[in-house]
Amino acid sequence: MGFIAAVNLALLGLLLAVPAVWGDFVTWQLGLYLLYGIAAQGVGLAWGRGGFLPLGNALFFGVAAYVSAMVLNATGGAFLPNLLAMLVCAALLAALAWGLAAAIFQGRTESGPYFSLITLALVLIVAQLAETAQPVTGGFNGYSGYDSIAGLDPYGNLYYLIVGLVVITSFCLMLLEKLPGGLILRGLVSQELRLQTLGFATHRVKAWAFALSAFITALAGGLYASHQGIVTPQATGFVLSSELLIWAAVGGRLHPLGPLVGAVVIGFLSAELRDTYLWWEVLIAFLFLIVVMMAPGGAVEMITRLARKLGWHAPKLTVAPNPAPPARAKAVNGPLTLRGVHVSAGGVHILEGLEFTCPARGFLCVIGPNGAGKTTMLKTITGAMPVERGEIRLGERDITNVPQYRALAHGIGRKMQIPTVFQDLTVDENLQLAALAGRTGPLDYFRVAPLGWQVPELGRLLDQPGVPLADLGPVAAGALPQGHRQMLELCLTLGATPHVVLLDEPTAGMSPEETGLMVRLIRDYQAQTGAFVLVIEHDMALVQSLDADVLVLHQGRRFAEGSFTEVRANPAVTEVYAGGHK
Amino acid sequence: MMLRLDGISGGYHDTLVHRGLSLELGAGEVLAVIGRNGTGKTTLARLIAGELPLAGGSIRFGGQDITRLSSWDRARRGIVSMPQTDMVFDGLTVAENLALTGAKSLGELGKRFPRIAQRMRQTAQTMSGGERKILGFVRALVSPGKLLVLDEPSEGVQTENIDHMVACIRQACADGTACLLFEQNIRMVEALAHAVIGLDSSGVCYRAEGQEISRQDMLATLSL
Amino acid sequence: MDQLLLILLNAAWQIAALALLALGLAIVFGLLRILNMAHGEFVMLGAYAHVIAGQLGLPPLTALPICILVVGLVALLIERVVVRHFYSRMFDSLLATWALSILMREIVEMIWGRAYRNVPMPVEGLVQLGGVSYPGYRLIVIFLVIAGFACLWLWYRKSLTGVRIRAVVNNPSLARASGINTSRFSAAAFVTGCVLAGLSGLLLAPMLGVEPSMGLDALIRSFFALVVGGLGTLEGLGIGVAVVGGVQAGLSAALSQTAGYLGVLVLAILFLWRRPDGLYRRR
Repeated sequence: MGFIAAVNLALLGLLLAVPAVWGDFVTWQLGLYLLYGIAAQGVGLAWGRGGFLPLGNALFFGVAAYVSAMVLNATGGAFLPNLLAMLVCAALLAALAWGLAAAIFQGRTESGPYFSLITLALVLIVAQLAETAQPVTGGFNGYSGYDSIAGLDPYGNLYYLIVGLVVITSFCLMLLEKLPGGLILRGLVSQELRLQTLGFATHRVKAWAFALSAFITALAGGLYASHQGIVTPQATGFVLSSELLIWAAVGGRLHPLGPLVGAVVIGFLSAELRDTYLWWEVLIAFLFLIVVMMAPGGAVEMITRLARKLGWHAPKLTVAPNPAPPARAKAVNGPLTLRGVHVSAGGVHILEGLEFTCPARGFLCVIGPNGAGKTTMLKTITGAMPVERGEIRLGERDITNVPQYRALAHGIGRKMQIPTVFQDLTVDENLQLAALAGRTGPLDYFRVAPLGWQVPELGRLLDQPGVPLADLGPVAAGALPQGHRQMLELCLTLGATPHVVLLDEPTAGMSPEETGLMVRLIRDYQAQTGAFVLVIEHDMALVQSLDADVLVLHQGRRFAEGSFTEVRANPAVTEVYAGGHK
Repeated sequence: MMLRLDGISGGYHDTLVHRGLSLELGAGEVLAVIGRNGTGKTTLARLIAGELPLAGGSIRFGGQDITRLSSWDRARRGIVSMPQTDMVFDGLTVAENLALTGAKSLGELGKRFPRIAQRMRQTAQTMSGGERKILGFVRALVSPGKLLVLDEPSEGVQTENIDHMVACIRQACADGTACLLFEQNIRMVEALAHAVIGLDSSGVCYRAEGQEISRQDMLATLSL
Repeated sequence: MDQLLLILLNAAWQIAALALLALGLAIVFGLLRILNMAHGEFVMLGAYAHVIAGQLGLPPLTALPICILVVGLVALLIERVVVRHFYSRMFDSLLATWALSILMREIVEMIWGRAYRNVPMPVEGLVQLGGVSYPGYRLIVIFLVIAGFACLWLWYRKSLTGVRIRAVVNNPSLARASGINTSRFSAAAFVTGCVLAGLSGLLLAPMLGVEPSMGLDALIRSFFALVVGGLGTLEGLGIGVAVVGGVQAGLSAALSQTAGYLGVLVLAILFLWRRPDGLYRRR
């Protein structure tokens, strides 16, 4: 609490004072702009927090408005039935949005423009239907002649209902930011692929974000019907969709209040200036372009940045450390086995019938010349690349072609070749995500306690002398040097205490001391958990120091295997791969 | 002189990597620049190619001052560069990659690197790291030009293919092309270089020509 | 029999018109990877060349050089100021060009108002084909499109221009190292694409009419034709316009205009969702 809360309460007080101070007409105007602002909050959530851009959110606004108008017409405006109808309608639209987003984002690791264009096409379809289905919607002339909800006056009491909705949506959105769910959304925008390897089904995370976005927008649409007394096809059209986006962008999509501010300020300015100043619309469009190009955070972001410069920091939510629940991964009951695995990409065969049974625990080093298929092997085990023929088993379970986000649920953790930490998040937040990975149940996204989860294995790792992360809590992970990033990447990999650890060149770009530390940490983890650790490495000294079995890959097949000395002495191996010799 | 750097300085943003570096290279010669990671080999290659702006000094190429010319202009005048990373057009096929150089056929290179000739229709991004290096090398060698600037062509390439690269560079030099070779692979440098420059974090730490080039000194440069 | 001929002619007309509309976007989006939401506004601007020529009291044919000049200059300005920051940032390019589209639409509204204007047919009269009489101007446009695309295909097969554009987008620094002036080259490609969009607006204005908001429909249909066909090749463009134009013409003839419009939207959603690479893949 403190300064920020005081500002929010002052804003609320201002809103409540409007009818008494400025009179009916301004109240009516502000009511409308606040409804638009709530709808824009929905867009802001999807775009600012979810990282995907819906171009057709007027779809939810308009459909909810039509449905509300029809229910109001049928029931004569009775309060409870209509409130219930609004909630049910919003929930149904949210379910639709969930299904849509889940279907589109499944199997993709980007938010690309295709989702945006699909939503654009949808809103065009619905607007066309609203115009064409004249008997139902009233066509061009609109649907009108019904009472407002509970007979509330759009110039009077209805305003307080709208302010109530504003308070609820804003509070919920601000709360979400502080909860694990908000952290996961920020991780999603920063590095979606990594979030998948941490066991989060990102397409479902985005689907929930879009569902919430649709829900909020639909509630605003429902009240809009009461407020306006008429619903026309414009309420579900392309133009409103683009305006929602402009308000969210100019006001600030990264903050729950940004879209509200955008809608209200632009709304009032337009009403004042549209008629007197001819270039007004051009100016708004120009402003939007400037914001897109130069200030992606919008007005509220500028204000908060200024506030931060003046020394006003948002209070940090401190969460008491508490023990994390055990990882939810299934127990591993046998070794990792690859049987005749074939993988190809772009018509080129990368793995050609790879056969191998890993030891059930302990270490295995994989070496081989470039293009031998080492990284591809790890990718197929975790489902990042599809297996064409053959199968991969973990104990008795068939894990061939599991989706990437399911790998961790099978107890498999992977460290990427290039460290891919969540660059836009702080080190602390990265570590929080590491502790959440593989342990969260559905309710944990909305509880504060999981943010304080302590994983013993992680704690041990961070306490090791020489591990630099403990003091770097508030530093953005993107600002870390390569060696530190590798350590953080290791934490992300080991946070869920996986039984099968796949490490792709864990010491690349590290100094000799850091390399020594890394080896110690990995050995320590293995000794503590009895896990199976597979290491791809070019550095022969490191391979030797791990004193593990070595698998040599060549041209997508198993070429040789044995102890380090055996492999080193094998003349066929030296012929294809000298390894680390310059 | 084919290429002449006069006291050039440059780097990224406000950090200068090189201060007052000079070198000369004549037609048909190979000058090798060696040094560990982070000593500025790639920076120097990019300064010469024109991808980074100079902070001071001048570059002359074939008798003309090219200090202020942009990279595409330098390329048109005959500086062919192979970058260390992203040395091919990933989204294009092998054939399209080669067609952009304007070369009509691969000639000798096709025989030495049959994998490239066989895979004309493959998209470059589906090739492995080593194969992409070789494609980048072939691209550079078939490009018409007078100076080759090769940034670690041997990295991740198998020994036999490094030997082929050596032979191809020798052939090009015999035809009058000059070559500036940035390498860590001592064997390759020994096989080719007429002169060697060693870099460390403070700048040029080693210079040798012809018979003076010694393996010991070069190893010392790399392991300091 | 005559009925069938008429349907075929209408389908050919729809496809030819769509091919014209989509060609510019095929360059800007298909090759340059700028998701140009302002494509329709360039079409609109091209159509307004008729209005400019009329206001200046010039003969109708001068609309052609006016169109090229106006659209070319606007495109060049936009490329230099806005678009060049967005190469290889497709998602952001969508937003920026969308802002541009709103800006262009509002400016045109400011200058010429929102009114819908008719443009007279440059070639009046009907041509008798069997038992069907068909507008001569449409037949001319169909012929121009077929001839133009044939020439384009012959040239494109030999020329490296398409490969160069893709190279510039794929790896600008290596493209420069290969002697391509990437900045000028992408600007030229963008302006060419936009001028082609403008020309399509000029040619189609007598049928479509001219109004500030005409761009949206042009954008949607050409965009979806590209998505259905597949990006980056003339073959993909051809298949895409044939399918989208065919579906629209077919549904319009069988049911109604609205059904044709909705059919295209549904088709586009299915492709965007299940097959974003389109029907024709480059190798």
